[in-house]
Amino acid sequence: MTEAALAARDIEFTFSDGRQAIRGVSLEIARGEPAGLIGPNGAGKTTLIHVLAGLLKPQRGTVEVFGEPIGVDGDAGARRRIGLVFQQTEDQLFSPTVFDDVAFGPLNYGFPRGEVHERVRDALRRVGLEQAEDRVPHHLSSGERRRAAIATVLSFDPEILILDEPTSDLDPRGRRDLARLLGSMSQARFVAAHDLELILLTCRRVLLIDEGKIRADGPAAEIIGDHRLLEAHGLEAPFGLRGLGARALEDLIARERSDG
Amino acid sequence: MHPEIDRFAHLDSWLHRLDPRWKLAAALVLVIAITLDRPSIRTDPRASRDLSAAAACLALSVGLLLGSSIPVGYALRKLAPAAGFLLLMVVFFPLVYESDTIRIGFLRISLTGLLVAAVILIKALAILLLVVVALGTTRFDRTMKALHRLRVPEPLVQIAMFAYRYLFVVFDQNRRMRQAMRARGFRPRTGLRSLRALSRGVGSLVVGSLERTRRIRDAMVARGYRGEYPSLAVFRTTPADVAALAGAVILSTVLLLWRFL
Repeated sequence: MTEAALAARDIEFTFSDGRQAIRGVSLEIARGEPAGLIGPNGAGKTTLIHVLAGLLKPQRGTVEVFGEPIGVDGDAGARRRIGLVFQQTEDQLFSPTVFDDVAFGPLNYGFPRGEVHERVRDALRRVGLEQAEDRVPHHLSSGERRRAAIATVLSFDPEILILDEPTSDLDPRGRRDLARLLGSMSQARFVAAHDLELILLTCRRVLLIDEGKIRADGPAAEIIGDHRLLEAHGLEAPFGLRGLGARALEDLIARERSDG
Repeated sequence: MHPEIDRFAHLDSWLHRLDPRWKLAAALVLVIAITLDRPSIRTDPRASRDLSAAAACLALSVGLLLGSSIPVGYALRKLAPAAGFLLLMVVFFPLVYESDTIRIGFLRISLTGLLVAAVILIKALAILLLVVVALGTTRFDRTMKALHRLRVPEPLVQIAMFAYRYLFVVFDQNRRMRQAMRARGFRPRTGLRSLRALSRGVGSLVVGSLERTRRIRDAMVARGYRGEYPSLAVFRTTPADVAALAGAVILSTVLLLWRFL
């Protein structure tokens, strides 16, 4: 049996106000696997992501990264193998310049200083922001900010990439660029989004979460093509995908991917 | 680079070329000397010496401003709010001092108070101008990194860096909030209703900023943050840096000895 890149077992998480956000979630993401997480507002997507990344400590259950338990706060060992891109890029890009922000992770994780320069330049090149090194993140466009946010995690080369609503502030072209960028990555990816088209384009597997529980887990085209399932959990396929079954969706994805 | 705060940091002058660590140290030496040189509360020859010492400090700051290539108009605009505040503070000095008074109509003006006010005002302007030049000739993020190297406590440097990064984000939020209020018929007035609406707006900005603080902390922790903000900044000392600091020390010594010459 191959070792899972990310494994969560029987996770329970309740906020301090007594609201239970995650109820007995177990999941595994294989090495290099692109998986999506969909669900209505308030379903527990962001909370689950924060638990998986070690930012929230579950009251019950365990999270393992390549078999190593993830700690909360001080323990950077397993966490450095996870790159988390937050929903709000304004919060993720907290440094005075884009360069400083992209260098923040590698410097904290102890990469040699000479190598950090290379890593920053390489990460910015991969997201097409070579010219933005000295800019203040606040003055980037939404699309540029999103790409810079991804560069901040690519620079320390995580083996698992977790993205929370990565298209929430992107126009159609920015979304297409992001899909292409995600498609070019070899890391395991876990993308939480309302954007079902992006999930279809970038993920082979989809997990559906509602009221803190995983309600469905299977091939992307099957889950997103099951309109009754989506409707039962407060989701709706985009206009262009309505009425298309799993087979038709698979054909559509294949065509989109071949068109680049 | 911030288009407003770092507006003239890209220019090329001998002050721009100084290592920010040495530049800050030199500015600090001068600021301390100007602050320590206290005016005497008398109208004897020493008082006129105080005034000429203060004028010399201001002349030095103006000289540095001219040498920095920062436009004078820009520097004056930066100084204006602080100068107004200072003026409000010192305007009462001639009225509350009781020595060497003269009568102008119903007012009794103290010449000593007038001198003290003038000395304080001139020296405060000299210090502020010095700070404008020192900060305006280096990118703010470089200044913060230099402060970090100069062993200024980490929390202070981080607070300043986050202020630099997020101050304009909060300003933008405030602007959008006011636009939204105006779009629904709100016009700021002095009435209780208006003040209540404005205070609610400020409250939501504060709560929003607190929430943002938590999210930023999460984003930092997710990338290995353990309390220290790492930096790749490289600083190199040149003979000009050492000369600048030595010049500041010499000038400061002369200023402090001025009254005894």
